[in-house]
Amino acid sequence: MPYRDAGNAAAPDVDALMARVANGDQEAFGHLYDALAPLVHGLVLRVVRDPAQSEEVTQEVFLEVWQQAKRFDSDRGRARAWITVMAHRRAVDRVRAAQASADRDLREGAKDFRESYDDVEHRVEVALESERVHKALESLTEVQRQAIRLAYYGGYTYGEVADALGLPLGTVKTRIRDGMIRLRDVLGVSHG
Amino acid sequence: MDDQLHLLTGVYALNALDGEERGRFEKSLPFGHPTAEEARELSETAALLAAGTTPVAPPPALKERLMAQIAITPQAEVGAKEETSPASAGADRFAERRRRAFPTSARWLAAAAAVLLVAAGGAGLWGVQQQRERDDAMRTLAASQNSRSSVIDRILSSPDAKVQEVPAPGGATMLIVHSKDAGLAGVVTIGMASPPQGKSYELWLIDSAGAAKPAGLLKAGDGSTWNELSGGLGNAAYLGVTVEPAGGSSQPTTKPFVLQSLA
Repeated sequence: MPYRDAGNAAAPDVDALMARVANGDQEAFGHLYDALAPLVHGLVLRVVRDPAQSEEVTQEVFLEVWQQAKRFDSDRGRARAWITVMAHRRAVDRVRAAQASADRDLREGAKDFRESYDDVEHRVEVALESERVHKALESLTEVQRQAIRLAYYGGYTYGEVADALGLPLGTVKTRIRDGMIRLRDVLGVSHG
Repeated sequence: MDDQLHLLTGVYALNALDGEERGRFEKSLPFGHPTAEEARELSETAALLAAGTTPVAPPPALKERLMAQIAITPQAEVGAKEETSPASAGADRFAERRRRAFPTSARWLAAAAAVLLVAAGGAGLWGVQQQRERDDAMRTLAASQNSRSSVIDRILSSPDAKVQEVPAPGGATMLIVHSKDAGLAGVVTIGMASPPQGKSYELWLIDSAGAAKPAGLLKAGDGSTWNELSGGLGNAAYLGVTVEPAGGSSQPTTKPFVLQSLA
């Protein structure tokens, strides 16, 4: 089997693989996993942080992909987005569940988070799409960017984001919305 | 919360609402509502943010576990489904996608299901998790409803069509579908227990002055049922459901256990 670079191969054939997975094709599932697992696991790790828990979440996500694949079949074209949304939701749920038992120190968490984010930003090896996303994020105001990063990558509720940034709830809500609309337009996600 | 609803699309897309708020937000959005569209678009935008993280390959053992797991895990089945023509990556992908999601004859289900999916919470707008029971019910219903789907089609093809999800006793769900323009309404029950022995569920259309007009009996039972409201919608302001002696009454004899505004 030819070696494929996961970063480049992910985009083009994920939807085709998904269609085969929907037919119960386990081999295709293996390929789908190879194509998307680094993306999914990277995202889950970012939000959950704990490696062992992150592995559990990633495993849950892909099991769900397998179980629900037939449902997705009729909605092809966005398998990657579908799986990503599922992964993020599960990661956030995991973080919140953990939080319920052992309260996170939010301000500390936010600080750590920003530091780890900056590390990542300085990595040379950035996929093309990643660069596009970073550029899009750069087009936001500082508050929009911080709030969106904390919420999405940090898994915080907007109430927690408001605390961390020392802003009123309403402000965070609208800044996040304005920022997301801006991202939508910059990234070209619109169904018109 | 309604005035502010549209302000929540961003935080919703980022999963930054807590569980309770998320549920409220999802439940408050009628199908096709511009705020629901915005929430969907922003969710897709949020999905792209995943690419802003550094990819990390999970340990190889994880794949081994998964491959072993899927080998013995059945896939959730989809009910009657038409072959779809090769997708033209055309202009109106969104509408096209929605049309393709269900057979044409049961397109109304897509609308109803979209409401369920939005309400599902699981994976939000993609509605992946949870809901399996409901989905099974909807599929069963799709298979059995072809002859009646024309009524639903007429309702849902009206510009003012509305699908409301209403909780019913015992964890059941009712979907109330109505259009004032078409003057038609119907009720889908999902997982609603049969009425007690010797009783019937009866539907009522209630005007703003509180006068109730019988609108037929409501079938319930395992799975799902579709109930068209007899006599059309008229100037009803509310839809109610009561427990009545078998065969129904001409006026309600018990307090409605469901009372939903049709505004």
